[in-house]
Amino acid sequence: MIDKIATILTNPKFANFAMNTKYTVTTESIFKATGRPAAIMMDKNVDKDTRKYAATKEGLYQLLCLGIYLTMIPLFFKRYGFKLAQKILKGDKDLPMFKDANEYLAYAKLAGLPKNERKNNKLLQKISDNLKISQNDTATLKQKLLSEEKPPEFPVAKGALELSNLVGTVIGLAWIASELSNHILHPIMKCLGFEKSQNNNKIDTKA
Amino acid sequence: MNNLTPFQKNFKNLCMKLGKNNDAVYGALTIAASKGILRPTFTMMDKKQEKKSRTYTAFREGLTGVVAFGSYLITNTGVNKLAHHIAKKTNKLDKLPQLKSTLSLISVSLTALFIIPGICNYATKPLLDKFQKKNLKRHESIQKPKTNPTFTNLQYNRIYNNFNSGLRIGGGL
Repeated sequence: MIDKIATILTNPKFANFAMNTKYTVTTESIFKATGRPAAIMMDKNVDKDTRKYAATKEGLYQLLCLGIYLTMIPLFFKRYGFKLAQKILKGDKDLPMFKDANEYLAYAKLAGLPKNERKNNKLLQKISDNLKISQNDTATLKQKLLSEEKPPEFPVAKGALELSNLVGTVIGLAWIASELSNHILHPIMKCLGFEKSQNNNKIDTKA
Repeated sequence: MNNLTPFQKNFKNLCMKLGKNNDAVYGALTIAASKGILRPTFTMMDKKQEKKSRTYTAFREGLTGVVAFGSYLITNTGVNKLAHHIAKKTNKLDKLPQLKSTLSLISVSLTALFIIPGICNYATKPLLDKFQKKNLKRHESIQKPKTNPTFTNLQYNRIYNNFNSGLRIGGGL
């Protein structure tokens, strides 16, 4: 029995799917966008209007989060966050002038591989030929990758990426998605028939 | 770069810490805390909705953040232990990362779909009622009118109603 479970869990297609961040975040968001509103609609402790409002808000928020996560965070925060970190620490040996975040990620992946596997790896093409830790250095980072068993790892660069991802997630998901959902929630509720335009007159605006 | 400003030094230290000790729990905690604070705040600012609905939704959003972080911690440790156990029993220790990823996806999906909404359905209303009762009691104790034992409202009304002075224009009221 346990062998069968292990075979299913280590199935290459399933494992590749589960190891891809985009796929996993999309799957989780779809479950959140369906499961949470459904659960809210089943909460009989509150009236129907409240349930409809909370459920629509939750579903809309999760879909907005997914959109922001897939578009804004990699395109904006990962790219410009890394550039900003390089500007702040300009000339620092712990954060060399990688062309962009993708070049650093390719370097980090190669540095994590055994030395003999790096030479013919496709990722090597993504590393600039002239990239050095500092201008006084004689060897380029590409040469270091090919000659050294343990090339430098640059944890500051990794941290800068983590930090920009984190800041992007907080700004994008907690702030922008919340504000955006407030703006488009009521028109959507009207379209779905959950809210009548006359109701606006009866609203209790006490904060 | 020899002379770092204090800002650069702090920034570098922060990046170094995040780069060296990349524990996903810190990220999850930051995201849960920011969502748990900002989402309810924005919900309460939605003036187009009744206050009762806003309060329930905001409270539920905050509670979801807390429950989600708790379940993340539990499932994370559970998945690691279970993956190790399965890998050891089936002699697939070389495939431990794949096992962890697939188990993690299954557990996170099930948690998001059933466990977190279930707990929130069970706990939101009772907790909200308790919270509101507490607030109401505090509010009442602050706003309780002070009564003067020697000068009652009835006496005040009598004096006020019988008090006549100046020129009356347009009748009694």
